[in-house]
Parts: sequence; structure tokens; C-alpha cells
Amino acid sequence: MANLYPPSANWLPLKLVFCGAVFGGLLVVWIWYSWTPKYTRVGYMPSQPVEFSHELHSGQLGMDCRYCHSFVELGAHSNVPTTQTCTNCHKPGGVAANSPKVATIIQSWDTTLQQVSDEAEPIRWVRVHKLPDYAYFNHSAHVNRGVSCVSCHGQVNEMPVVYHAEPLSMGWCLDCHRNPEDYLRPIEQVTNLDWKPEDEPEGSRFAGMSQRQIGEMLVDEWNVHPPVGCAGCHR
Amino acid sequence: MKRRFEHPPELTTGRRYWRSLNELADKPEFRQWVEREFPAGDTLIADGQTRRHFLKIMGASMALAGLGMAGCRRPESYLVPYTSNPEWIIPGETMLYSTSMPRGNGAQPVLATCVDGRPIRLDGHRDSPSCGGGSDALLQASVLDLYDPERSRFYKRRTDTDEITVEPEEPQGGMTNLPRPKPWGEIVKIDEFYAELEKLKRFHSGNQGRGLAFLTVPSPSPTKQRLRENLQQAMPNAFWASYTPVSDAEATRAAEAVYGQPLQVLPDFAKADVIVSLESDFLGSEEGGPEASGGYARGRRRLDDGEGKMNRLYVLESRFSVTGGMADHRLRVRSSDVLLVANLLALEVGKAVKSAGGKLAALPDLEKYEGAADGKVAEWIAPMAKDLAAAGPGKTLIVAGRTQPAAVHAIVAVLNEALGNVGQTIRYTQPVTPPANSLTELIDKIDAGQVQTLFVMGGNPVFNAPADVPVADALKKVGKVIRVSLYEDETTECAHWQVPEAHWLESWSDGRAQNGTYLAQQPMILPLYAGLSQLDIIGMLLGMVQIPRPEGVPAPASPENASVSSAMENVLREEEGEAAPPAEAAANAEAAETETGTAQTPSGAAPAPDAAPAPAAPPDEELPEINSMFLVQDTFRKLAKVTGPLDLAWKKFLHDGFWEELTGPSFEVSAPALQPAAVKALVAAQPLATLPAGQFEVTFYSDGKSANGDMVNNGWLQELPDPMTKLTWDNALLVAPADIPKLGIGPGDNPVWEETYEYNPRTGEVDQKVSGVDVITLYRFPMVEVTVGGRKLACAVLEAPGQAEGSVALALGYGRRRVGHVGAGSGFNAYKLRTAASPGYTLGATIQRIAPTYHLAITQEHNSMEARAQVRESNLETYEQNPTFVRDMGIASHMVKKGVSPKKWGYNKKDPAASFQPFYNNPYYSKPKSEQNPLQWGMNIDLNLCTGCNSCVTACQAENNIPIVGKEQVLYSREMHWLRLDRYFAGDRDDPQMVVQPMSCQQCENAPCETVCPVNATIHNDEGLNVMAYNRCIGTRYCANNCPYKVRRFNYFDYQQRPIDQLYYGPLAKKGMAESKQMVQNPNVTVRMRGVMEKCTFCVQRIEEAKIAQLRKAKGSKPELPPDGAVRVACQDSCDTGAIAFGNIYDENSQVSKMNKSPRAYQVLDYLGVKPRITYLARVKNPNMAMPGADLVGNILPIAEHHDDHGHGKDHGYDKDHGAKKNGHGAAEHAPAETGGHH
Repeated sequence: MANLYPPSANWLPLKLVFCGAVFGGLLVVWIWYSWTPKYTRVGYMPSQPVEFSHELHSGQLGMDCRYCHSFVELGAHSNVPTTQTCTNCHKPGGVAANSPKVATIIQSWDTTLQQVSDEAEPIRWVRVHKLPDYAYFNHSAHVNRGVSCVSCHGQVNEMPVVYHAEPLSMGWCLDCHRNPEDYLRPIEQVTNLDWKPEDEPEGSRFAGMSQRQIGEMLVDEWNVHPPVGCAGCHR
Repeated sequence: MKRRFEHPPELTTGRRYWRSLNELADKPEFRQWVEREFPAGDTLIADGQTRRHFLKIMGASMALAGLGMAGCRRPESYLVPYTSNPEWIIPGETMLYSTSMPRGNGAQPVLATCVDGRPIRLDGHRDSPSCGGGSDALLQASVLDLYDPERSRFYKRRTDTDEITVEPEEPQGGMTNLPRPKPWGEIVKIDEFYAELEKLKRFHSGNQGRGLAFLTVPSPSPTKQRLRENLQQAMPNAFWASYTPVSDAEATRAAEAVYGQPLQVLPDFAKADVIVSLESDFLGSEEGGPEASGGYARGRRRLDDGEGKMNRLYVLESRFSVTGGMADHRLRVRSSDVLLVANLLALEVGKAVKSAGGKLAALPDLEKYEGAADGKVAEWIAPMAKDLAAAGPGKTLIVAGRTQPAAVHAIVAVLNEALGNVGQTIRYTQPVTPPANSLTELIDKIDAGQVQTLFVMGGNPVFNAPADVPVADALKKVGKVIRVSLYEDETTECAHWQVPEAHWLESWSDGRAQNGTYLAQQPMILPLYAGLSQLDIIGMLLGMVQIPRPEGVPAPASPENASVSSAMENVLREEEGEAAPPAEAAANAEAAETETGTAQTPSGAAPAPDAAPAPAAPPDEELPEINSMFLVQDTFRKLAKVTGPLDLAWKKFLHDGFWEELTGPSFEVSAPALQPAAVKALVAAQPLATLPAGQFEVTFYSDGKSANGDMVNNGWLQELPDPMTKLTWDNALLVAPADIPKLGIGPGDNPVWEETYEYNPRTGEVDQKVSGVDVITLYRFPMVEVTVGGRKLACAVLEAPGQAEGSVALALGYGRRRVGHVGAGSGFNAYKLRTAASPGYTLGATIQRIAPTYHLAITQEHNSMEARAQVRESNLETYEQNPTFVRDMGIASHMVKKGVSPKKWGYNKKDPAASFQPFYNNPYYSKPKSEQNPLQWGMNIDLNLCTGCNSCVTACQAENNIPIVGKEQVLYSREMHWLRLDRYFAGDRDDPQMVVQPMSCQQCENAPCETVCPVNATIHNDEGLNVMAYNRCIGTRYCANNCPYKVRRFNYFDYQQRPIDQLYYGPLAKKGMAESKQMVQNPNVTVRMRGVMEKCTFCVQRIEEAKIAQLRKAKGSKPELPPDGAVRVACQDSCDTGAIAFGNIYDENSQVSKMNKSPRAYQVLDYLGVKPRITYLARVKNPNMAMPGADLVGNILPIAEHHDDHGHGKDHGYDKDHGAKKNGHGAAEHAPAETGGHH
């Protein structure tokens, strides 16, 4: 009986196994990488309904984060400013009142009552940073204890449009919770996104110290023990 | 190798604790039931889900996952800030507001927890002067009513096709797919209702309110009372009636006879040393409220705080109530015999208390009761009366229940006078709910044709009126019935307009607490469905609140009162479809009346589309207010006598929730002199009842979870196990075990064990057919037909230990026919048997067994830990002699494991907790204390104070987003309550005692659940919490399997995302939570999904919040530990007796540490060595040793006998004389001999 398959077919199973291994491996690598928060989240930069530039307000004008995110030290959530906050500067006749970028804000102003109109629609900001439902993050517990905004949100004062700078994954959180000394800074520098340890002026008690030295000193002084158990974040 | 822990043998002889009659009887079927790891249909395979089916579903999900790849990208979500920030609000943070909940016996002060402008939790107001912050299940669950998507949401008008739904012939079993009532009415714009209201206002203010009537529930609101007075002035002919099915009306009627004026009884349980309850369930139902429970608990606390002797409670009742469970002595008497008992008590008190004679002379013919009783009653009364006498004047308290007629209340009032209690433990206040006309008076007026417009506000009279009061027929005769209610209900079917009522959390009002304290009621949220409060409606009718005008309608023209009203009258007539006779065109009031008398057909009364002319001006010159807040402000101004601007005082009033000058004592009335003649007349008019042989007495009671029918659409309450019967989703006829055979129910019938059922997921029915593989055993209970005076009711029978023989009891409020999905098909309508003459109980019932059977979902045998002395109790005498009696109890105290070194297993009485070497030790706790976290959480529950009222279970459900699962799932033991109340009966099956034990996750230090989790989803943290990471859980259920306390709960279905009747739908079925239901979820707790295990976390969200608050405070310094009391867990917050303490057990001075040091402290299943973090304090009863059966009170497991039961000298070697007889025997005595027994 004639051979149905040529001799080269003997190699077919091996080739299949090889190809399968290569493709399977590539698939694993692809999933491994592309399903991580680093891939899915970092760089997320949705366009916002109002073209607000953090670079301008925080970076160039030097406004403190807490001018708008006013409850960050008091609550779990860092609030997004109300329209009323914007109108402190941007009302008819105010700063940049004729700019099309603030048109939405200007329109919600009630000139007779001199306040934001009751009928004004709130601004629907697109959410950039979002943790999973089962993780509970508390802003006040961090900013009151020397964790800067920049640690999680990146150099927002240089962002014309805010984007997701850090992965905010559990492993990433634990990096800091396990080694807080690498990130802590003096309380008064928390909202100073450009602070570097080497910027500490002469006379400051931190002068000439490295981040690690400052951090270790603060961990000791403030008795910092970030939770590393589940209940710290998962409730 | 798997090590199996051999539990020590259970007690098999003698008296013991038991949870159900099946357990007591110890049938083989029952053993089989409890020995399964997951009882009944607790596994998926048993649900008729075959493997093939499973694969099919899996395949479909895989396909879906492939299709849905595009959806993997995170969905865009939005942050929507306020346009301008409201004062005080911090987004996401909780805020507490003072308000009050209107209830039948007075408003209840409430502290509402709100997040982002929506209330999520309600608790008693701890600072309020009227009570110490207690709550009950109804208050806790009321917030769910607010968000109920099945609330009345639209303004509706009757259509011609609307009819009254006919009740199904057969009881439906409450499973699923019940026939739903047809939708009622047509939805109209709110403006149409306003136009209607405007017309009515104009019409009735023109005719002095003739033909206008109101039917409401009694309200404790002074503002409403003020509006009623205004109404009386503006419309003197308007008729105001109120009706509620269960109230203190009989007590008030008695006070009126005894003192000549209507007074409200205000018992002070805290001051009383001896309390006698004549069928008053003051601890369990709404009857007493938190004031009663708190007061009783203070008297009970004297055991520890040394302020005098612990109080003693005697209860005489027919149904075993929560109060009966707490009693030191409980006597089963039929409700109808309570009158006799009261008389006998008066007779004996007359003998025992010398000074009592004068007052007792007010009671007629006491002497004739000499020897009138026999048996237990006769033995009981004399020693009880002597005990009352011995306690001294003003130190006792006698209370009578709502089921009892006025005569009993009158005798009790006289007795309290005779014992010198008035002014001491009994005080009187002005009634907090002002008197009004009765329902029957209203119906008479309707029958006389004198009611043209009727506002039925709140309540549900068509459903809950007595069976002999034909409310539905009467409403049909009224020209225009306007129904203002939270739900579309039975009364709505008889109405012409349905107006959504604003929930009490949505409306402005005020209220008087039980003791008279003036309380604020402020809205926590704007009305969700544009509802109107009753104050709004009355205010609008009176012109005190502006009726909003639709846009485009011109402003009112100049007033032209008389002519306008006559014109309106014509308009009304035309709309009612009856031409106005020209002779009556002058429209005098009589004309209106005759006309309504003939307006018999409600269908003809359907108003035509708005044809009204432009409304004219309001008749009063004053500009009306824009909302009812101003009405409340005016009342406050008058009551608090505020002169000048109101601002600060008003803010303080709203902040505190009460006004200091208007607290309890200012409303108290010193009781006037007794009126012997009136008492004689009242008591003599009530004949002693005799129960003919073969007949039964039916008692109607409120079970504290249906609110007499108003809250049956509330899932939290429906699924709440009844404190005594552990029945969920239904009510049932409670029958004494001895009476069961008399109903023709055989020993094998109750419940039926043998039958097997298959659940059919497609039809949602449990079919009665035996299938080869998938068999579930469910309880089926026999049904009977109760006939009273020709009225019949079919209902299921539940054997109730402790029920008086010859008496059966049925809870009110179930068996609604127009109700939402949750309440549909639950229970049997007891109102059908209730008559106006005897609302509490009725005699002459015959009961006949009928063929059908009925599923009752009872949780009492679920999660059984079997009898291993989980509950421990004793009496005061034993406690005083041997304060550490708990350590001599339980199998643990005598346990020696064969073949294990006695050093390892020896019981150390000084430190029972350290006696047991566990299989596994948490390495964390072997570190020195200085290296451990200084915060170690623990809980202490005092069984002496826990009544089993259920408020903690509901509070836990509200705080922790615990879903309801529905009746079927409860039948399969899948209820999700993190905290359950184990109710143990003790002793005799006919007349047992009862102990309740709250049981939740014990947060074991050496937790058995943790070691078996394959994915580390449940692990220990350094604060001693056994924490759950839901997102890690893969649902193996090993942990639940390994939990000795059976406190872990598994999400068999997506209970949160699917309605309870659609749980079995496939993966493509619609999912999602109703938007309004999302609002009640606690944002600080994860909403768990299907396939995840969950359990009590010690409210870890509150712990974390307290710790973060300390961090916030510390800023750049070392944070302090949260002070004791900074973390209050939800169950602790809700407990009105303060039975639960929570805190840091490493802090020597914390409340929980102090309580843990009590000699009564013990831990459940301590011999397992799991080191639970919950410590219980044993119950100590205070029996009167002169009473019959006193030796058994709290002594069901007498210590000595318990030892004997254990076969001394057989397999463990103890000294034969040890035990309670020899007090204070120490560890040395207890140490077992090296080798087995030595005698």
C-alpha cells in the first residue's frame, strides 16, 4: 500500500507542537502585558467637557491643589470643584470672561442674583482615576500624612490635559505601603508637586538629606505603619 | 492526613436546650438534616441543574466573553460636582441629622446617617431625652421603604375599568409567579391633581367644609393637630376620623374611666423592682418602644452595677412572646383568662398589702374570685402578690397588653394605685395622639350620605379594618375619595385619586415622643416621586400652603367668595355625571349633601379631563406659605414661645432634634383621684369568658416586623426571622403542641418530612414529584380552616412551644392582596377574623384541618451547632454562691481527650480560654504583646440583656449591604444574614423557657476557616480581624464547611443584581439593581457578587474610618489609638438594651475588656481552641423561690446534674463531689487523674 503521507509528515506533529508553543507563548506574553493596569490605565487621557489646563492653573499660576480640591484633607474623596469655585475668577467681567474655553462656566452665572444659577447644569467631568469597587482609598489618610499628590497622580502641574500617570494597581500601592520612607515628605510640601529633597533650603531640618533619610525620619517621628492587610483597603 | 475533631458527646438524657421540636424529638430525619454540611438544597446540583445544563451555560458564557471583548475597555464614567456646594456637605462623607419617625405610640427620635444627600441608615437618637438611642427592626428597615421601587410613584386617577381585585381562592404559598393585581388607574400629571385640589379647596371653603371628611392614622404631630384646629375653624363641618388596627386605645379608654380624663400610661421600667406583665409584649413589639426595653435593661443591669437588686419579671400571656422569653416566671394563660387573673391578682394584693384595700374597693365583687381559679394559676397568684407586696410601695409595676380589653387595663390601673406605683413607676401624660372620631362614626356618616369628599391619608383601612366594618362598601358611596399613601394598596382600589405620599424621611413635620418630648422631623431628601406629605395636603386645602400652579395658568383674580363656591359646586356636579337640579342651583349646603347621598356609583364619579376655569384667588388675605416647613416653624414658635427672629432657636431645634424646655416632664399630668363608680361600671361590663369545649380562642398580635401590614413589602422585614418561631416570609397559626392532635394533625404531619420536591427553575415552582436524582426535602406544614362567627380563614399551622392550650395566635398584617413583589403571597390575612368588638382576641373559633399543605420558611434549624452549652444561664441564687458558674458548665469543663496528655487537655477553671491546646496556633499571637498591634478588637454580648428583638439583625443588613434572598432560598438555608439570633428553648416542650444568643462571625484568633482557604481570600489581620477579600474568593465554600459556628454565608446567586423571583434566569437575562435601591447601599461596603463567601467583618469600614480620623487629627505627629467608644458597630448602635459592647481588648479600661472580666463571661465552643473574639455573658434569672417551678428557672442544666449526666468515673476521672454543691472548687480539683477514672 502506497504511503498516504510523505516522509516529511513525520515532522508535522513536532512542527505543530513547536508552533503551538510559540503562539501560545506569545499569547501569554500578550495577555500578560496588555491586561496589566500599566497597559490598560497608564496614559488614559480622555477629553474633558471644559478645556481646563492644570499646567496653566497649578503650574504657571501656582494655585494650590486645595483651592479647587478643597475637601482632600477632610474626606475620602478628593472633590472636583463646583461651578461656583470656577466662577470665583471666571464670571462675566472676570478673568478671561470672553474666552470660549470658559463659556460653559460663564453661561451658568446668574447676573441678577450674582451667583451660579440654580438651573445651571453641573459639568460632567470624565473620570480619569478610578479604583475597582472593592478597593477603598482615602485621600485624607494620605495627604495628611506626608504622601504627596504627585505620588499617585503624577506631575499634574505639567499636564495641559490630565492623564493617568501611574498604574494604581494593588502591587503598585503595596510598593509604597511596604516602603513608605521612599515617598514621604514634609506635610507642608504635600501639595508642592515640584518638591525635591535637594530643594530643602539651608536651615531646614531636612537640608542635605536624601529622600530615604527624610522618609525614615518621618516614619519614625509620625509612627507611620501603612496597612498591608486586606482590611486596610478592602471592606 | 485529615484530622477530624471528635466533639465531646452531647447530653442525651435529662433536660436540655433545643432549638426546635424536631431537635427535641431527635428524629432520625432531623439528624440527617443537620449532619449534612450544607442542609437541604444548599448545593447547586440539587436545584435540578444537571451537568449538561451547566456545560450549556458555560458554553454560552464563553461565547459571550468572546463577543464582548470590545467591552473590555473601561467604560467612561463621570464626576459630577454640585454647581454650588451646599453648606456642610463633603462629598462622600457621612452626615448625621436629627429627625423623628412618627409611630402609633408617639414619635421616635432618630439619628439618620446620610451620604451625599441620601439617608442610608437610621438609628435611635442617643442624645434625645425621651429614650437612650434604641431602635427596632421597623425603624431600621424604614429606610428601605423610602427607596422601594414599588412605592406609589405617580399621581393616578381612576378609570372606568378599574375594579377591586378578587382574592385568590387558594392560598398561594408565597413562592413565585403569583398572579399580580392589575395595574390601577391612569397616570396623570401632577398639575391635574393640583387643579382638582384647588377646586375642592374652593368648594369646601365655600360650604364650611360640609361633605368633607378625613380618615387618617393617629398622628403624634402637634402641627397636624394645629392644622386640624384651623380646619375646624375654617371648615367647621369637616369631619376628622382616625383609625389604626393596633393601638393603646383600650388603655386610654380605661384611664378615662379610672381618672375621668383621657390619659396616656407611661410606665417607667427602670425604677421597678418587680414587673408583672399581663400579656404586654413591651420588649418585642411596638407596644413598649425603646423606652421600655431600655428601662427594663437598666433594671437588669443592677446585677453588675450594684445599684440595688436586679428586677424580676412575671409574664402571663397566651402566646410565647419576646417578653415572655425574658421573664423570670412565665405562665401560659389564654388571653381571655387574663381578666380573671387580673381580678385574682387584685384579690391577693388586697390580702398581701394592708394599705391597698381602700383603692381596691373600686373593683366590683373581688371576693367572688376567691378560689375561682385552679391549677397553676391558683398556685401562682398568691406568691406573686406577696412578692409585689414585699418589694414595697412604688417599687413595682403592672402593665397590661394591647390585646386586652379596657376592663383589664382599668384593673391594672387600680392595682398600680393600690401598690403606690402612680407617680413612681407609672406616670401619666396627655395623650400624644389627640382623640378623633372613630372609623365606625365615619362610616355612619357616609351611610347617612353626609360625605362627599374623603381624604384617606396613610393607613390602609380597606385591608386592616375589622371584618365587620364594611369600609370598602362605604368608600364606594363617597363621591370623591382621594387616597394619599406610600403604596398603592387595597384602599387605593376604592379611591378616585391616588396621591403618592411623601415618606417621613422626605417630609417636614414634628412629633411628640412617647413621654411627650417635642421632636423635630426634617426631610433627609427631597421627595423621590414628587410626593406630598399629609401636612402639605391639609395646608393646601386650608390655603396655608400654596398650591403650585402649572406654568401658563394666570395668577389668581380678585376674590369673589360666595359666587365662586356656588359656581364650583356646579362644576363638581357636572363632573360627577349628574346634572345639577336647577332648583338647587343656589347651591346651599343641604343640596350638596342630598346629592352625595345619591351618588352611589363610583364609576360615574370619575372626573372628566380638566375642564375647570382658571382658578380664582384664595379666600384668605394672607399670602400662603410655599411649603410645610413654615407650618412646622409656626408650631415650634408657639410651643417654644420664641419671640423675635426664629433663626437660631430653629437651627438648634433641628440640630438637637428636640427642644429642651419641651421635654417629657412638661407634659406629665398628675393623676386625678380614682373614680370608683366608673371603674365598677367598666369592669362589671366585661364578663368573664368561658371557652366551650372543642373551641379555640384566636389572639391577634403584631409581630414587630409587618407593622400590621404597612411594611409587608419590605424585604428586610419579610426575611427577618420571627424572634420566637424563626418564621420568615409568612405568618402562621401558632398552636400549642398539645392542641395539635385536636386539629386532626397526626404526629407525622407536622411538618411533613417524607415528601420530596423538585424545584423547577423554569416555572419557578416546587413541584410535588419525586425525581431520581435531584431531591430536596422541604418542610411542608399542614393547613387548617379557622372559623369564627361564620368568617373563615385558611392558614398554615405552626406548632409553637409555650403557646397556651386552647388559644391560637395569628400575626396581623400578612395576606395582602394588592402589594408589591416582595409582599405578594406572604401569609394569611388575620383581619378577616377580627371584629370591632374584640380586636385583641376572639373566642368561639373552630378549627378544621384541610387538605392542602404549605411551605413555611423557618430558619430555626439552619446552621445548627447542636447542643453544646452554647447558651449558659443560671439563677441569682446560684450566681451569688458561685459567681463563676459558667466555668462549671458546658462539656468543655469536663473534657478529657483519651490518649492525650492531661496537661494538654486539662481544664483550668481560672482561665478556661487557655485550657485548650488548638491544632493550629496563630503565630502572630505567640509574639510578645509589645510587638503586636495595640488595637485588638473584641466584642462582648450580655445574654442577660439580649431580648432577641431583631433590631441588630436589620441594622447589620442595612449597614453591610446584605441582600435578601427570597422565600425559596430561605427554604434551602441560603439566607444571608451575617448576624443571626439563635433561639434556644429549654426544658418542657409545652412550657419551655427561652434564651436568645446573637451569633455572628466570632473572629477566631486561630480561625479554622483561614487554614482551608486555597486562595487566601480569608486571612487574619494584625488587629485580630478575620478579614474577607471578596475579590479573591473563588467560592469553594471550604471555609463555611470548616466554620464551627456556621456563620459564613455564600452568594449562591446574584442576589443584589436580580429580583428574587428571577434568580434562576439564564446568563443573558437582564441584570442590575433598581436605581432607587442603589441609593440605600452603604457606599463604604462592597456590594458582593455571585459566588463569593461573606460574613461579619466587625464593621471593618467603621474601624478603618475611626483610625483614619485619628490619622487626620495627628497630621505630623504620632497618631493616638481611637478612644474607647470611637468605633461603634452597627448591631451595637441599634441595641436598645445595650447588650453589645465592642472595643479594644488590649485596652484594660475599655468597656469590652471590663465586661470580659465578668465572672459570667464564657466563649462558645471554647474547647475547640479557636479563641473566639466574641465573649458572651451568661444569663442570670431572678426567680422568686416561693413560686411553683422556681427551681427550674434558669436552671435547666443544673450544674450538679449536668455532671452526673456525664457518666462520672467511666471515661474521665473527676472527683465525684465536685460541682456546684461545693463552691469555688479550683483548678486542682478539676485536674483529671493521669489514667482514666480513679473510682
